[in-house]
Amino acid sequence: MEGTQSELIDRYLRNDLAPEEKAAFEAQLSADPDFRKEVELHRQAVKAIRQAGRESLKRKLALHGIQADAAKKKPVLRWWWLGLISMIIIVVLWWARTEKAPSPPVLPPVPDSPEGAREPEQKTSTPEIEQEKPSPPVANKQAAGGQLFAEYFSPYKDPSLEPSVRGNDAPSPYEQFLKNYWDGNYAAALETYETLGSSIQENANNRFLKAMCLMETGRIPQAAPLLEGLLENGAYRFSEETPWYLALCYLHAGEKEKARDLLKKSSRSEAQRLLRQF
Amino acid sequence: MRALREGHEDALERIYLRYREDFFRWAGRRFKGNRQDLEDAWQETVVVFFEQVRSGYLVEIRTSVRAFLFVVGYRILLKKQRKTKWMFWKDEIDDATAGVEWPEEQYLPEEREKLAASMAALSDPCREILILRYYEEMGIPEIQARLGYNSANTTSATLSRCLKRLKELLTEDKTST
Repeated sequence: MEGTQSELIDRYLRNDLAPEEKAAFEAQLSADPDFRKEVELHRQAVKAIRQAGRESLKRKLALHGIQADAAKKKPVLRWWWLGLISMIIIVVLWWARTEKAPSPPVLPPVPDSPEGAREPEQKTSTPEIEQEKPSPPVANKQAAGGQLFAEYFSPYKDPSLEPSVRGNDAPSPYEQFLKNYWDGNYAAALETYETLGSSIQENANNRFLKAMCLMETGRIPQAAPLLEGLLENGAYRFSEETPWYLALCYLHAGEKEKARDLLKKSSRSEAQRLLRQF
Repeated sequence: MRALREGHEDALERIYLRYREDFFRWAGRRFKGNRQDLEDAWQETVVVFFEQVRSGYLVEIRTSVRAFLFVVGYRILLKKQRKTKWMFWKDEIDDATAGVEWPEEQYLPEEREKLAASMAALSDPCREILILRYYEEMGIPEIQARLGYNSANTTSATLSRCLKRLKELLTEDKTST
């Protein structure tokens, strides 16, 4: 009986009663105070259950988030270890190569004329050593900047960039460009961009998206002048984003001071975090 | 959305993970707060979306799922941070999220604690069966299969017993205050 009454109250609260059922229910509500209390108690119970259900679901989602974050960290760590091991191997090989005096079997060492046998080798080895020392500080800066670039860069995306769904008509070149961008086909987006009319290409917003494509496809030196031009452009849709991405380009090129100046002006939370890593 | 309506939890998990990082990047540029604040908002966003779909209220959306989620998330963050921008964008957000039942508007703060305490006092099996029936809106056969009860009658009887116990706890709480 109780179960039946609970079901009836449930259906009423979900507005699931037929008109005549609802009329009878509401008549009983107005006439019977105990029934009114029972309905209100049921309403409270359902509220309590839904609140608990919501919290339980949030906890489950949070757990998925934690697992996803933990899974993401592993590849970074792996990359760091791989990078470190690779560097150690390169250093060891380089050291072994410079320390050892190779003696090919065809030309065994001649004790009577050690200098005559060795000099050519020394001559050939020293240029290599000199070539091995281009300018380590710059190379290190670029390597470090490249790592930070990889860590912090991702092409700009927000829901407003999502192309609207058309009917069966083929997309225009501009729509195709936006679709390629949205779908993450940045190389294809660049190709499509080149087919656009000059006024569309010159549009600041589109130039910004082009810069994103260039950065994502490894053509950062081409992206930087584009973003520099946009910085001087004045206000446009991506004004706030431009300093951040230009800073990343400078970082990639090892131009830390220029990157720092831009990052200090950026309002992005990642900018402050990145500055601390300098 | 069909998968969500049919109770496929992994569909919700996929939605939650798929747009999560994008939401953090997007919201992080617009709101102050640490990653945990954004995580809380994102969880709430996905839960609201789930509830609207499960209740059958949200059958289709005019924009993409992602755009809808981001608008919901935006509203949640605006209200949490009490931004004055909320008033500026209120009409557009209300239009995009017409019909959504916002959790914070259903509960008074003092009510939340009382209801939570009553649920906490229930046994785990009771809490679970009530949530499956009244939150996830599963039918008796589904609940029977999920929880491994012998028959539909046993499932219904357990459900009634647990609901009755919850009502007793709520009544005890009222009389004690």
